[in-house]
Amino acid sequence: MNTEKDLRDIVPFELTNRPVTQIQSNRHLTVEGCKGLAEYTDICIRIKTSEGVISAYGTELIISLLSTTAVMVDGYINRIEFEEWK
Amino acid sequence: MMKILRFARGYIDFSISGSMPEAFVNLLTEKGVSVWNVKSCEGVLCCRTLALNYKYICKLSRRKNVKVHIIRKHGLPFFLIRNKKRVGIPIGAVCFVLIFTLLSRFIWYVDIYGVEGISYSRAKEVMEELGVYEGAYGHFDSLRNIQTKAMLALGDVSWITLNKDGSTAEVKITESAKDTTENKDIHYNIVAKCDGQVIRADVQKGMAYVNGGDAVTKGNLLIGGFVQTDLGSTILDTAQGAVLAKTEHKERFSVPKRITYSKYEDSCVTRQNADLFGFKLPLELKCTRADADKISFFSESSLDFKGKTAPVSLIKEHVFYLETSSEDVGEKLAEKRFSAERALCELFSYSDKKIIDRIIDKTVDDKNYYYDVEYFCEEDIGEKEEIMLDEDFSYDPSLHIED
Repeated sequence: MNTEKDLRDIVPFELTNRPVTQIQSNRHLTVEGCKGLAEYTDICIRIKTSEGVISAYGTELIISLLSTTAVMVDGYINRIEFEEWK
Repeated sequence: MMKILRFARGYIDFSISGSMPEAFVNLLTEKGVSVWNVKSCEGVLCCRTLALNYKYICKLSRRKNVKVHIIRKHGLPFFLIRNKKRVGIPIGAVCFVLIFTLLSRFIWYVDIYGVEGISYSRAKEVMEELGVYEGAYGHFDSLRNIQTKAMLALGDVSWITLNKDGSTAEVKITESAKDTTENKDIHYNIVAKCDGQVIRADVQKGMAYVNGGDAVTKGNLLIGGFVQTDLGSTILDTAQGAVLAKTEHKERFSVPKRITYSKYEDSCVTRQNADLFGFKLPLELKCTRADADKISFFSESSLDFKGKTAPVSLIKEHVFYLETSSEDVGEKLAEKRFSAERALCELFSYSDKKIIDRIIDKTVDDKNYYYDVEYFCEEDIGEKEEIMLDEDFSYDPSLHIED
């Protein structure tokens, strides 16, 4: 039987109003519910969200899509950090 | 799809330099300007955006004190601007679209399938007569009319489906199932198909009308479908059985005393032609001797694409010159030719007969050698013949004896 927590795990950002992060291997990162970029170099991308900042470190990092609510990052991601998290 | 749309509308690569390029990118997204492929290279951010957004981006950059600079322009609008002096490109593009549209209206491949009893070439020939062939205009006035005409022309067909799929005409032929069941209302006698002397009659059904040693002529009743019962009434049945008889057959073979024949010369002329959309174009200009007898053989190699034959093929024509010679035929050669002809005749015409003996009589005139062969055989001389009934014939089914 699904608990409330299980359901929250699969529902998208529009329903939870909390940032949803998806990682495919170490090549692709998607953050839904972002509030913009805090910093961007080719080895580090810091993405502002309502609950804090998600930092992705790696090489050849490219933002393949940027919209008001979502960011898609491609490249070789070595490390992800959650900073100033509420 | 997105790439095609972006290409059609045109997009640019531009760099953002200044104190806070990230903030400027955030501002762009907030203002609804779509940017993608954001890269960081040597302290500046490089992005892509649609060409029509660039003016607005420049306006924003002046307000936010950042510098934007175009790196590269992509897409159809820029391509057209770059090549506006080259008139041939748009003319070529228009011609391409026109030719493509025009050619796609024609039939370039006829796919006929489902034929088993009917020959494929016959089906193709009929469809060609009805206007369904490679190179025909693909707008058929009445598919139903073509289907009906094709069904009538082909005969043993229960249904024909004609569909047009792009430049392919699909013809599905459903042949009618052959009725193998015997009509129980029709009954047969067995009669003699040729003259002969009966050796024996093996009756399976019906009544024998001949015995061993009887002489019969063509059409004589051998086994009757009428059977007399013990009660004195007559019942109908289909006669079955075999009547073995001695028969005689005559054949005449003739061999001319002088024969004329043609043979190929060693050398041949090979020419290549291209078949483009039904038009044959010569690729080589090799002439052949007009006064000489010649024979041509063609080999065609078509271009197949995903199992469909394209309307483009290469045809190789091999032209052989014929040399005509005459030769006198001696007795020995005539004998050999006769033996070969006789063997062929016996193979095809006497395969169902047992040849007991043969007498060969040879005659000669000015032009030919004649060989008259009399065959003595043993064979089943019975053949089925339908029993024709008068209208007043009374038939009692209750008396019909089942096996």
